[in-house]
Amino acid sequence: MNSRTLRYGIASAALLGLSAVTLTGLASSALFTDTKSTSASAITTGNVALTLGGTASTALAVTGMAPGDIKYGVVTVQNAGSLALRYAGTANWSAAGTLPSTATLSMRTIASGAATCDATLGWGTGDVVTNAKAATSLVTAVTLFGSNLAGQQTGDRALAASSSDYFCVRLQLPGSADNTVASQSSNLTFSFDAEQTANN
Amino acid sequence: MPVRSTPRTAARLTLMLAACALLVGGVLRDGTLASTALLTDNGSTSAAAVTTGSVSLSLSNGASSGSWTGAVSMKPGDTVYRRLTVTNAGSTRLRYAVAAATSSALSARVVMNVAVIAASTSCTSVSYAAGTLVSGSDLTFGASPDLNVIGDPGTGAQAGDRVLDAAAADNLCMRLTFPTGTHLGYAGRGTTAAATFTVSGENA
Repeated sequence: MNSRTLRYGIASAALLGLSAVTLTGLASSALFTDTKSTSASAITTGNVALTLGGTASTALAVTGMAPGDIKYGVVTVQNAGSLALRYAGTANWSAAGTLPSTATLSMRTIASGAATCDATLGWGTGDVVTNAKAATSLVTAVTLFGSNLAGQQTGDRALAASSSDYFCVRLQLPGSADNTVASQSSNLTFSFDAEQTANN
Repeated sequence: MPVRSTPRTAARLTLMLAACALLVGGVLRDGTLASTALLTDNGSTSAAAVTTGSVSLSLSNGASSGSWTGAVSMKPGDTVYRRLTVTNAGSTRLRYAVAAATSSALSARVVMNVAVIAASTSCTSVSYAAGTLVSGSDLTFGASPDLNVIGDPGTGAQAGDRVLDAAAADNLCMRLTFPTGTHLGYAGRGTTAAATFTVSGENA
């Protein structure tokens, strides 16, 4: 056996030794183990959703409206989501002019969508809003109640899940309206902005 | 061994600082968004079309002019008939009144009566007699320069006001009489008196 053969033999023995150590190490790190998981917790987020109804889109539609004329219509706001919410209301005219800045909007809550909605409601006391109108003839939005800013704002209305608010809306062209309001047309919609009440 | 600052390393440092600033800004912005995130919803009703009406009167005496009597030459004892059609040219039902004003003493002697006669009918003694008196009876200015001929132009419904639906018209026939015994004498000869009739409408 020459020296070269001896070196190969030693190297092979060393490799074998390392393999043996490795195998021993693996064998020596074996443990009895176990893993458990809890039962599943179902986590579902809530949602905020409004459903609107009522007669306002047809009952408030009018042609040839004259000073002193009054129209009544119902708006239903339903919390169709799973979370309690608060909401604010605005009216929006499709066109600016003296009609939005002259015609007034008042709202009262009523017991249901089929409840009486007319002049007999004792308007003026207990209204949600009385005689609101556009600030100037240049704007189209009319604030009815609350604010669409995040968080509790003055006038915001709270609505529990699955419950509804019913509003009787009064649209009036005051008897003091003059010729500047004559022959004007604008489409009136009511918009509501809702947000979650929880943690807000 | 101190590291010497070179233009290249300075540029790298600037870039790194800018990147850090952007990173911090992003975190802050996201933090703000996260803190304002809410579950929300918005709904709008269908639109209600609202259109106001208008009040508009058009006057015609059968020609292009809206003058009622035009030029009338009268002597004591004469009676003339003149027509004026009042049309509601607006879109809203209206009520109207007619008032007259004069600055002439001569007008004070003229006696006026106004009847509504059938549409498109000439104003004559016959149609007048068949019509319905809508003015006061035998009106004169008297000592006043102003006279309510039909109704009252004051705001709101007044006695005698006439109501016209949109596009409807009243065919008014005025009977003007210049009675005898006016004692104007020679001073009244060739004198011209002007009276203005004002038709005032308001939404009914």
